[in-house]
Amino acid sequence: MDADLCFAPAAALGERVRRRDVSPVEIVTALLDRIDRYNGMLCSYITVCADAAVAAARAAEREISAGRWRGPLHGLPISHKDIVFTRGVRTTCHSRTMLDLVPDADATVVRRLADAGMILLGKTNTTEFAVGTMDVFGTSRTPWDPAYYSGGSSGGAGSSLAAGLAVAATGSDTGGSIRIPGALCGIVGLKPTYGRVSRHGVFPLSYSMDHVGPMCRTVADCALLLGALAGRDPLDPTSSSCPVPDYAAALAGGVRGLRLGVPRQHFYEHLDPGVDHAVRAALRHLESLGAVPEPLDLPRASDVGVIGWALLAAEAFAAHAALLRKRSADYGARARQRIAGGAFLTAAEYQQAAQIRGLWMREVDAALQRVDAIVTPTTAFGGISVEAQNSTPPDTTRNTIPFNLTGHPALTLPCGFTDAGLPVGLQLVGRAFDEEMLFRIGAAYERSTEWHTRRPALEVRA
Amino acid sequence: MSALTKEWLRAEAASCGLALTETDVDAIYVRLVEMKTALAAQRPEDAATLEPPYRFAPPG
Repeated sequence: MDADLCFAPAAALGERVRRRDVSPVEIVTALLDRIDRYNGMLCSYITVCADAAVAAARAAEREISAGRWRGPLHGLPISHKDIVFTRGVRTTCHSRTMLDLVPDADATVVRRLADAGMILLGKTNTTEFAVGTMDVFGTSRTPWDPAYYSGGSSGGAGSSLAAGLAVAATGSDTGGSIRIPGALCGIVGLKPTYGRVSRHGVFPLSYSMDHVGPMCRTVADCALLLGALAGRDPLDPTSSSCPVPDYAAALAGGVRGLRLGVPRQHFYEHLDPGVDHAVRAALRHLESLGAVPEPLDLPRASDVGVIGWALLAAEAFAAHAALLRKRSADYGARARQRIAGGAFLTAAEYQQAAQIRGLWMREVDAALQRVDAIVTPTTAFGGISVEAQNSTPPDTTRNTIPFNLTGHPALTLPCGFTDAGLPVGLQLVGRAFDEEMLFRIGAAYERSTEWHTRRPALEVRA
Repeated sequence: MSALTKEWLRAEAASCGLALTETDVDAIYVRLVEMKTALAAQRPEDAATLEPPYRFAPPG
């Protein structure tokens, strides 16, 4: 088994595939071998498309050999979160209500990555409907210590990338579901600007806060994937026609002279010591590269999390009402309670929550006129045991959901480890449709640190 | 709206056709109290003219 192949960045693998230095079949079979060894321990995948992936890899190999190379993602495997509809491949949403659902159409993100030549490797674990628990297929775990939760809801994606069971993945993020597992698994994840990536064919949770984005092991890989994912989709009326830039071109910019906002309120409060230490060290490192940290006032920050949960609950109930009435007992308790709670909020309360959200958006927009990006810890804690996750988990979304409310782009990347050996995530938040700035800062940090190159010691545990 | 009580929640759930357990009612009640209290505390007078949804203007 070639572990180096399984941990290589997508951009490097894509270049090797183009040069025919490595075959898509070698990549896929190496990953399938590793999935076979470790998925039982980590619960990263719900469905693995082994035979179809090998067949698609052979087809890609033939296409490339015949001179029909489609681009830097051609022949690379992709894993989709199991709330993303895949034609002919079971899509469960990790719900007892959808165990046999086989969609007859692809989500737009699936189609776009397939058009770029990517190969569907499998469907990754998610909390039930991206809001509950993982009762049916098991709880996904961080490979840094499998007694600890991967984070959610895109936990299978985070887990699989950190363990070398995937090259790239899609996730969805309504309250932090790309960034939280990104942080707890030590990988890179981007929640793009609201409207940047189509949500068509992704099972909805919250119409106004759902985002779909890339999860990878490097910033450059996220930039590469976003380039293929982004853009107007007639099937998603919330998608934007804002032009898609060349994200790769932003990677070399460096941070000299960039102003980084460090919030005075909320985001640096109640941190685990290991998180506090790692994030402050990351800020000093960025300063040493020429960035200029500036204290920033965001006085509403502490109050908006619960507003986000109110909007999420109301919109989730709207999406689930019919199914929940018919199949209530088939929902897990946490999903049922979080979704059904939305039935008891009034229209006036929903309107009021939307107005508070508008004020918060103005506050963040104004802050981002003064700085180039906002820098925070992605999560306040360094890890959640699987036992805690399945009983009384902490609020994992306190630093992430504020930016689901605003729709600003937010990137998490690894910035260190706690004393217990669990990864810590750094969150960068940028102006609307300015993902390039996040890639620029993230790439500069990544180039000059080695956190993203570390691998968990799974071989010892297997 | 009636005052938020667990009795009101049970009755409202029944009228909506939602089958909830007593554990569900307890958990939902706690979350609703938190949400409704926060909404009442943050009633924004300066938001009267702010119509949701607030939209981004694409750059350029």
